[in-house]
Amino acid sequence: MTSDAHQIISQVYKAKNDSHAADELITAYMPFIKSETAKFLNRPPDQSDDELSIAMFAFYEAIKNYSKLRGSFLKFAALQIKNRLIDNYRKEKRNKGQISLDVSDDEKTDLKDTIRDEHDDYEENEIREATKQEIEELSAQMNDFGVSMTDVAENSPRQRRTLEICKKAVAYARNNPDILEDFLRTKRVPLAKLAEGADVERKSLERHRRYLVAVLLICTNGYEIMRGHIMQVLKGGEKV
Amino acid sequence: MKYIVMECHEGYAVLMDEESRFVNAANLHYEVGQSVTDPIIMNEEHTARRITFTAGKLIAAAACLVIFASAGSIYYSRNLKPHSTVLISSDANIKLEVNKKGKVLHIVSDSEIGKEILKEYNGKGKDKLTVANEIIELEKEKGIISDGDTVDVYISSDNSNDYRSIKSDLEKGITDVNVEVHGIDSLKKPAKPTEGVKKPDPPKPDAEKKPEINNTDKNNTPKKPDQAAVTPPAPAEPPAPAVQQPKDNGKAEPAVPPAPPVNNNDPEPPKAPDKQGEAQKPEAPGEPEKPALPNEDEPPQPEHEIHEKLSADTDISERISFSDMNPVMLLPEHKQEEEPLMAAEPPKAEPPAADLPSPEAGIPPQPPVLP
Repeated sequence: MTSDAHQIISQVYKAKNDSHAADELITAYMPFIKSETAKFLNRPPDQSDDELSIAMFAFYEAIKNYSKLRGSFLKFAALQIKNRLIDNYRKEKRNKGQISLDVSDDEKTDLKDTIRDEHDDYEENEIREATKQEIEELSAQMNDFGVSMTDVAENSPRQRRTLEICKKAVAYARNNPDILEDFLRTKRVPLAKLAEGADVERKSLERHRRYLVAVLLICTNGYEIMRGHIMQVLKGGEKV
Repeated sequence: MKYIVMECHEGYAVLMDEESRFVNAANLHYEVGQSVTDPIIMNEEHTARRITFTAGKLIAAAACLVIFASAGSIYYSRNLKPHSTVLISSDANIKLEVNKKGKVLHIVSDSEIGKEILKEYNGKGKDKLTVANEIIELEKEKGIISDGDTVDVYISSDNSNDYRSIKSDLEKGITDVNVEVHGIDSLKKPAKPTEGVKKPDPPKPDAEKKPEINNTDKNNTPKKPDQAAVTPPAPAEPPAPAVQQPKDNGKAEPAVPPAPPVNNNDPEPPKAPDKQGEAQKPEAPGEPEKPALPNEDEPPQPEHEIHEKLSADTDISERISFSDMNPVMLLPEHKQEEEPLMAAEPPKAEPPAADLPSPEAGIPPQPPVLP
């Protein structure tokens, strides 16, 4: 019993910094996640239920936030799952007065089928595929820099002030192609040049080095869609 | 805000928002490249939990401090704070400070004998009864106390219950010597008589002073004639202080007859008495009989009457003299007050006597009535 507990804890601590290990742990404990979801739904969850996805996400959160001081991991994870599901239930309850487009007016047609669709599904699929390719390329390029998307998500600035500093640095790099070339050639973020050119503290940039790798790579040629998506940040940086 | 799904995992997805922020969110069957709105983003509990954790630590530390402080204060009040004092009254005069539990905290003595005893003995931390017995034994050894003597023990305590318990303990516990236990009030009693002796002292002078005044008042009658007789020169200058005379006159009248100037004031105008007083001296002998009478009628009553009369006369004379001296006094307000006095002054009969003819002259001559 104690050896099992120690094994879980070691797995959890390993999964904290390794996304693949986290995925494996989630897969391994899928029956536990389903049982906790079933307790909440009072029925066994389907694979298509959003509640199950939310429960899995809560389990991942539990992995990230767990420490030995919090006691048993599974109890902690169960509490996290329960809280997340309750939060989601309350959020959904707020929108309960609204009619879902999936509800059928009569048995033959859904409501969403009655609305005129201005979107071109074919074009959308094409854009999604193009975006997917860009992201895959970006991920591959980021691997060369030793950075994963999960790392970037964890290293992303959360405070507005820090985000503004990073915007300034990225805008300065975008206006100076030499810096981007050096960055691609050396595979190192030119923190000193960015800090000096953008007139920001180097320490702030150092803390978000992995995030800067991702954004600077997006700013190089070849990532039109993603660059278009984050154009606002670049504009904002240029304004400053 | 729109998000692009950057990466999908079993339990979560990495999304990028329009501000180039990367976030972890619940993977609600997303696909990479899909753009989504309103995802379930991972709670930023790291910072929040750190804050709450540090706040919790601070609160716990504060609670610990409060607990330790209260425990310390309780310990101090029970063990280290002197709650009552026991004084073994003898030549040694040893004082014990006792805590709430009855343990001796300090042993002190002001006397040399007591200090000598305490040099050899340390009873700190022992029970009060044990210490009291041991001190009495030491005093016996030194010859300060002998068997069968009665020792006074004085107790001072904040609490009456403590006082009673200590009293009963000492009365029962000390067997070698007769013990008389007193409260702190009884400790003060021996001092009271001294204070009582001292206290009457201040009133004495008051009492002495008062009788002096009374004596002077009362003895004035018998004594002052002598004093007046001893100092006759005062009346020798009667004219100048017309005001002072009456006082002196009341006392010195018997010796000096010239007092009459007081009487002379009534009939005569202000400045006249100086000269007239001298001039009237030979004429006065008939009048000084008034002051002479009181001497004959020894009882003080007539004297008071005379004094009153004289004082009234002197007041009048003063008023007259002031009004004469200060023209301000002649202002209409004062005139009203002085009018009766002036009206009471008949002496101006002389001028009217001179003026009589003039009104008569003013009146048209009446024809003689013939019979």
